[in-house]
Amino acid sequence: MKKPLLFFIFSILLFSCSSKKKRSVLKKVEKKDDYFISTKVKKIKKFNPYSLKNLNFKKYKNKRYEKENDYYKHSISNSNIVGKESLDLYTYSEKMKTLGEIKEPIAVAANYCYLNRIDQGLDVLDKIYFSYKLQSKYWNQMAVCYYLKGDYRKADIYFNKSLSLNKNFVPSINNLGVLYNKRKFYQRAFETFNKSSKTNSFSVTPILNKAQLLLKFNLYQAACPVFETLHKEDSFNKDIGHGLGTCYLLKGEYSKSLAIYRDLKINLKDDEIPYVHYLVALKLMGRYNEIKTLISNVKANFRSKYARRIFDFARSR
Amino acid sequence: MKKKYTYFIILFFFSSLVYSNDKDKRSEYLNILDQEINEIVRLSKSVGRKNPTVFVRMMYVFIQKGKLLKEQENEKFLRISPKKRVDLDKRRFFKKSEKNFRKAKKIANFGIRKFKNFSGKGYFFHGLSEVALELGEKKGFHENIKKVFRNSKKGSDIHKKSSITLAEYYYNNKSFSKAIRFYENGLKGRKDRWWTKDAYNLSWCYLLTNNNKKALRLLKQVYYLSKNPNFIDVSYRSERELGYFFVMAGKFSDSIKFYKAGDGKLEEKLVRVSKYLVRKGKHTAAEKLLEYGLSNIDKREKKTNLELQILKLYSKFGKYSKHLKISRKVYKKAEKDQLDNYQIETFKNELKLVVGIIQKQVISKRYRRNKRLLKRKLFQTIRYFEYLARLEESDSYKWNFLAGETYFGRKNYKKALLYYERILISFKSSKKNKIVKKALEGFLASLKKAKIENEKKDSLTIFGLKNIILFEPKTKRSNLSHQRLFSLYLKKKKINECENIIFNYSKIFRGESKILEEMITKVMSFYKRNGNKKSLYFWAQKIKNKEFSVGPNLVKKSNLILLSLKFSKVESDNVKGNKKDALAGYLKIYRNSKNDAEVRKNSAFNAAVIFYEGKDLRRSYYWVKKALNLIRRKEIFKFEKTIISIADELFNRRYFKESSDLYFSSLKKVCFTKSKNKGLLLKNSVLIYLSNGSHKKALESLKWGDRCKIDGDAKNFVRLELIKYFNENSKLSDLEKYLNLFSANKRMRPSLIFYYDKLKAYLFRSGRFEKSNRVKSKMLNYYKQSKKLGYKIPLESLEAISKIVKNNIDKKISRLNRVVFNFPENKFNKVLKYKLKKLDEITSECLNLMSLGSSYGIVNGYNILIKAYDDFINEVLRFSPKGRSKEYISSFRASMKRLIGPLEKRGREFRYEAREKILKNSILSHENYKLLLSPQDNFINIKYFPLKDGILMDRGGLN
Repeated sequence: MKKPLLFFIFSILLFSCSSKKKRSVLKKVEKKDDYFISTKVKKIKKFNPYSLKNLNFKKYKNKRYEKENDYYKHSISNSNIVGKESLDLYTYSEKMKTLGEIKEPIAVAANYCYLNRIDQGLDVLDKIYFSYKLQSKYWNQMAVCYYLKGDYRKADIYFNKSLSLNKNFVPSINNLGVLYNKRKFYQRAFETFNKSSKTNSFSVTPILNKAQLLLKFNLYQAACPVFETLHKEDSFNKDIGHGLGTCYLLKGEYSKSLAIYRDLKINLKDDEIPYVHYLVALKLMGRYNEIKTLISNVKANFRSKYARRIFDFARSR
Repeated sequence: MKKKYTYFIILFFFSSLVYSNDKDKRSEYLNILDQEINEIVRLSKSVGRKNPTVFVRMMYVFIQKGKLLKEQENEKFLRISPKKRVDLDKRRFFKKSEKNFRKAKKIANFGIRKFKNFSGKGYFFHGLSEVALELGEKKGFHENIKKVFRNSKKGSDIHKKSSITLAEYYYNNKSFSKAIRFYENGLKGRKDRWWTKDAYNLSWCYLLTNNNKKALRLLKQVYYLSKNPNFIDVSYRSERELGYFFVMAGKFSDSIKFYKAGDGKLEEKLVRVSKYLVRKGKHTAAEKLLEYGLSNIDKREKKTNLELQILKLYSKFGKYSKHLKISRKVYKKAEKDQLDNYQIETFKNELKLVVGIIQKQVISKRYRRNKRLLKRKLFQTIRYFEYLARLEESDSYKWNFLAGETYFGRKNYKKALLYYERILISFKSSKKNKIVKKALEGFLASLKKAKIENEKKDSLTIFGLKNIILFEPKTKRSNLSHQRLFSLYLKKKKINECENIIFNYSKIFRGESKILEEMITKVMSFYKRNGNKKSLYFWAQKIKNKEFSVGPNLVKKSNLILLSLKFSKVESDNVKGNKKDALAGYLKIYRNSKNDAEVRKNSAFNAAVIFYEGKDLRRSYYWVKKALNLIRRKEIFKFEKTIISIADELFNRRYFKESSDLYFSSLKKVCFTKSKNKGLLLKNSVLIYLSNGSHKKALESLKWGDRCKIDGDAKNFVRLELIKYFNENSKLSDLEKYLNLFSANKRMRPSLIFYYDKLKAYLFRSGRFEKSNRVKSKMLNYYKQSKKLGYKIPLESLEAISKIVKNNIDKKISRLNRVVFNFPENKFNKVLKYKLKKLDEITSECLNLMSLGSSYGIVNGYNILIKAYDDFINEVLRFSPKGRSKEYISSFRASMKRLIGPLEKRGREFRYEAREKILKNSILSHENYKLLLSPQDNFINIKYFPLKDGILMDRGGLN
């Protein structure tokens, strides 16, 4: 009896002593880096501050900014009144086509950004930094990319950087207006668009932006002539067409409005407001059958209440 | 008979020589003599007293016995100590011998009386003379010898002997003429053994009686005969004195010949003779002899003793020029080790003796008029000192010192210097030595006064200063000597020596840091001028390591030098364009300078700059941060510009975190300096932090902005950005907190009103009505205050205020609308009056609203006015009093129409005004449609929504 008991006690002692103690694993207190690492930096396992591999003392020639040639020159730009100044209104396929055509690096970067391949666009800009860093165009594009990314603060900083190099660089002035517009500082946006259009009277985008803003706040008397003029130049431009069509609706010139909307390639999914305005024009012109055709098989999931209201009005008798 | 007596005399003389030397033999002889006496007594008894020879024999035996006993007694007497002897009666000790002498005397007197005709009577007198001699009776002796001479037969031995004895007597009493007669008599005939001895004396008698030739002749004879063993050898003395004899005879050359002949030891003989002559007071003769000797000895070595001897003579008689001539010769031999130790010692003594005398003469004023003589003596003095210095090498410094002193005494400082220098050179140990110290003083004093060319003077000065340092290292003079020596070496560009002085000085004079510092500075300047970087580095390192106690300025300078040296090679690479090599160099320096913050700082910073130039911003940032940690606040201004450039570039290249961090780190560093970039750094860091969503870092930056006392504009900008950020990101609690915090600043209030409006809306939406109202009150207060203070209020803030004002007006209108027209007339009129009044108030309030300047205020102001007027007009026109006649009603309506006419006009005017204003100023308000579009025209209420909220622009387009 004694022996087994002793053995038992002994084994308890033995096993309890031999069990692994929970090692208080001292977490390696990570040495607080005294530097941060930007997300753009490729994270490598070990950073070697002494490495000389990445040095590049090559001197880059600064590309000169040619104001007179500062517009897009590809196939689509010729047929689009705004297309020479901006890729913003291009459709996806148009952007893809442009990407294949243009070689100029900033344009390539712009294309990527408008195609929502922001990082790619920024990478292109990074690569050409040294040649273009003194150009407002470069910084403007950087800002546009960030704007498209939704990083409005950075966009703001870079637009201002662009203007610091050239205070009369129209695209940046315009784009600042777009930024104000986005932030609902409409009066400031309007003043900025005004300034940019005055800086270069031949730039279309600021004028269009201005007209849109005027029409938005029902100053159609000022807006409609602009839309009319622009429509003459480019009758296929959806933004212009929609603006003019709305103008005519507000003025009571329903047939004109109808004619405008009819020529536009309206797509319910992307263009619900032009779509409902088209329906209203049809209704006010008594074209109920056409309305019927248009609204058949349409799942009216409108994003805005206004579109919903106008749609209901248009389809009602 | 004669033979017997001769036998006795010989025996008598011989035994006195032999027996006196041997005690035992003496006793034996005494016994024999006693036996002899008994025999003689027996014999006399037998022959009676008639035989005089017996008595002669007995007399001599008693004399002999007496002599032997006297010897014995003398020995006994001499055994007593001299002190005791003095007090003793000497005669007591010599009783026995005296008794025997008396007996002999008695017998002699008896014999003289008894045997008057005895032919050998002379023997009795001889005996008496012997007794008298023994008893010390000089007179008796002499008298008896005379009697012997007179009473002895001429030619007999006793006659000759007594003649010689008399001659000796007279010789000793310096009666040379008398002595000659007796010597000549005694030396006649056959020459006995003693002949040489006696003839020697005779030759002296001749000399002393000026019979030089005879004397010379005789002495020569004595000399030669002395060689014969049958004669007493007096050759040594005679040979020696022949020299004198020759001199006295004036035959010097003969003397040389004489001495030359024989065993050939001429020099030795001449020396001996000369010494003898000197002893005799014949110095001139001795000198002459020696001079003759010198000129006649061919081999020079063999003249040394002669020369030394003659030197003594010269020195004794002050013949110093001759002394010098001989000394030269002797010295040359000494140089060739041709002198033995004794000769050298003798020569040295001679030199010392003479130099002592002539030096005094030189230094004294005695010969000041005789410059030639003085010059000679001076020359000789110095020459002798030099000889002594070389002969006594261990004490050469003393002799050199004396030479130096002599010259110094004669004001020949140039030459004195040489000797002092010699001492100092030979005496390199710093052991204390009086003479060497004096030599040093002498050296310095001479140096001062000596006229020598500058270069030589410098080297001598250096020498002197070195010795001062050696002998008295810690004195004030040594301190000055160090400094002077340093200057001299520096002048001569002997930098190694200068360095040694510095080391030495620092060890000895620890407290003299200022002087040390000056020295080190000069050395370093020298190296710097000559581009000797290695040495410069060496010294800078030493100062840095605190091996010398110097002031802070030099420490600072040397640190800078170290820095520049360390970087010089690298910087040259950089300048030449080898940037990669330069960069590698900087990185290497950084790695190898673990304890040197200054070096690390500079190398890190330079590395950062090159990485920046090499477009490796990631590493540039890393290194600039490293450098920034090491840069002190007071020196940040040197680096600021570059750091900002790097930060700008980081931002340009989209390294936002790094950029913002670098701006912020720089801000912290420049915080308490006078940098003009504080505001810029603050703004940039905050903007980038906020663009990256790091509002906490932005707040931290702002705190630093407060600490750094950055100007208000920059801080206000940053504050506003923060508020914008909180609003954009719906961080409501932060928005509220910081709005309240920042609104303490009155200048910020106009801009904050807009954001307060946002806050108010958020609060209202969440049901916090009371708080929302408080915010509203705050907004109005701030607006009023800002307007009063003349601050420009942003458009957005005006919009916000407009909304509040408009709401108030709306409330008023709704209150107005609640009041309806009613009859009776008084009531109607009352209401009409009230409503008109209110309409007026509303009108002014609307005008107020419009005057705010916001688009919202303008458009809504008009809208409210127009509507209010329209509503009032319509209300008035629609009202029909009940229970009244048609005419009353038509009249009433007509009067009402008249009343509202102006109001309608006013309403139309407002409408027109509003439209014009909106169109003219492009006022963008959502309520525009109310004024610009008629309900009939826009019965659907068409609105325009652009496809895009603004079209972005990439290019400038055609222009």
